[in-house]
Amino acid sequence: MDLLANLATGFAVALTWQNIAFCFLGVALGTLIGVLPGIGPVATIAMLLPITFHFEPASALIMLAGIYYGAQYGGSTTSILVNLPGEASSVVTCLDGYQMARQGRAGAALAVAALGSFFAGCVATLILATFAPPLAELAFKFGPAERFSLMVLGLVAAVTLAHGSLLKAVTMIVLGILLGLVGADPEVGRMRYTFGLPQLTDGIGFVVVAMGIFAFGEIIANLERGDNREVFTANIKGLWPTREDFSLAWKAVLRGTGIGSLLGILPGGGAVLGAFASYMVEKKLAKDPSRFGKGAIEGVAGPESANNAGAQTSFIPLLTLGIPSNAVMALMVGAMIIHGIQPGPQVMQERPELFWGMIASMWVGNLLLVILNLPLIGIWVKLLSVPYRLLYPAILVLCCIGIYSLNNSVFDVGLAVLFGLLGYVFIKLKCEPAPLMLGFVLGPMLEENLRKAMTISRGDPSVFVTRPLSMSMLLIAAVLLILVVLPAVRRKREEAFQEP
Amino acid sequence: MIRGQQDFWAGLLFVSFGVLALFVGRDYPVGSAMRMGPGYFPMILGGLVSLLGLALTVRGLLVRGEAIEKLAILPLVLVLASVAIFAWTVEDFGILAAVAGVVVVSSLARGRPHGGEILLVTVVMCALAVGLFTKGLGLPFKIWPG
Repeated sequence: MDLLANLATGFAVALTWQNIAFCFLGVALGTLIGVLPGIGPVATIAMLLPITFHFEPASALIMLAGIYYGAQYGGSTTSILVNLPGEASSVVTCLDGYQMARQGRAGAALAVAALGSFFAGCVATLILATFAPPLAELAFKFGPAERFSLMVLGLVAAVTLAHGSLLKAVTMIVLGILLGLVGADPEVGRMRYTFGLPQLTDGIGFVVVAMGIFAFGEIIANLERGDNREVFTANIKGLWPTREDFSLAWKAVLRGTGIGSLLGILPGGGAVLGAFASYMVEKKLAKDPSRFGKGAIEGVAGPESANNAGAQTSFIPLLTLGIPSNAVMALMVGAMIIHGIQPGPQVMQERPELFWGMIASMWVGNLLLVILNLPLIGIWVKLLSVPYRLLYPAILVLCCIGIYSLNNSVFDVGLAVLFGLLGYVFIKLKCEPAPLMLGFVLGPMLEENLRKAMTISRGDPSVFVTRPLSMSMLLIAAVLLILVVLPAVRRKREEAFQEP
Repeated sequence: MIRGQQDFWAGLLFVSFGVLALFVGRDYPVGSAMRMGPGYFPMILGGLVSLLGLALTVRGLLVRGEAIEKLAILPLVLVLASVAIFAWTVEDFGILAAVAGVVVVSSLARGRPHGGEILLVTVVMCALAVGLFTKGLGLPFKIWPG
């Protein structure tokens, strides 16, 4: 009955008028940026971070969380109608969603995506509420060795499920960790890789890296591809999924929710992995896999449920262990620290109203999102008809303001230019930037825990395999790695990612 | 004799990062496994990036792979230049000049820019920057030059 009492605490916070308003603001903004290509949750949250200082902590976190999971809803709209994923997590939705739109079934695709996401959001919120307290208990037993092994597991999982070359993904992770070490050494304060620049003492800001690599690199790549968007807006009115659609979709929604929730919990997980994995599973299980890529409704229902579930459960490592599992969660850490809250298992005990309020708000937010995305879909579609040539200069302005205002630093904006160049080079060399970002986010913590663990064990590396929890995590990581390298699995993986 | 352009050049890029890390960090105290110094982890990582990069380079030499698509120099230069202009102008010339600079320069990155449209976007974004970000949200931007 603890759960009910806790949820009651949460809803008491989430259902105040003020917090409903913040939640609405968050999910509306999230949908907006999800619809607009070229500006993602990272850029938006970064931009709003300095402002949230003036809010109540609970309101601030409720709004920022809303932006993240709201973006998953919005991202599906662009994928289906324009074949242009608004968010990385909606890339797979393009495959079948856009085909459905071309067949005049955009309405059905949008409805299934929204309803699937809503269902997944509700389930994932419940999972979060149920499993966060025992996990936090467990987290208190975690020493540096366990934390290190958990992060290794997360990084390995990110590699196995990243698409493209394995070797490149691994190298990008290590390079990311290396970039994360720039700045003063946490223990002795010695400057590392700062090249004598005082602005680098605290390290490179992740907003700088994220905006440079994701936003700027992406915009340049979009410009070179040219604007050949074809928006299917004429025939989305009044189309409700048929009975047959529902009977095909509901199982995919269930499976997608499960897969997304599970993968979201992993550090390195989040919304993107779940969506890809779910698409692979649906295609595998389908009686007639050849329908996929030609407008199979399961190919929309599964991944869309998975990305929303994953977006929500990715809060679990942050709230229970204090480990951010992706760039958005790293920004949430920033938001919490602004308010003097150190993320970790103690948050639940010390600030129950904050913890449970945020969880309860996710349910409220998902309800708001269904309303925003189904009856009001027309508004978002109108936004889609704004040509990209008007959008990208505006997006660039917002990015610049976002980077600058985080530290009022011109240096950061200049550094972002460098990362923009790097991001574009990575796109040209087909190096996925997401693993780099994850390594960058986890890098400092990885080093800190490695050093602590080795100090405690007096320099004996066997500490990572003699402690049962740590060993089992490393074992899972090893199995994952071996599985991917096996030729048979490797071929399947490549097939799955090579879909049109 | 490069068979896989992407692998080869990506490998070289990684190797140069790795070697740079090893070279710049050559004086950082390494310490021991029990008391790791500031140099311990960076040396491992620098070595790892170099090795992995080398493996990628070799694969690029041996295994046939995709060629690198043509670089789009104009969008690349103009988009990044517009951001650099923001960095250069925002504190000395104010947010209006910075926003106008970003919009005008980045708009040129697409073929056939349209003067009227650029003006429209500039006005809208300037209004947002001043009305919402500076006045509304209290970000400390200087508005006018001088």
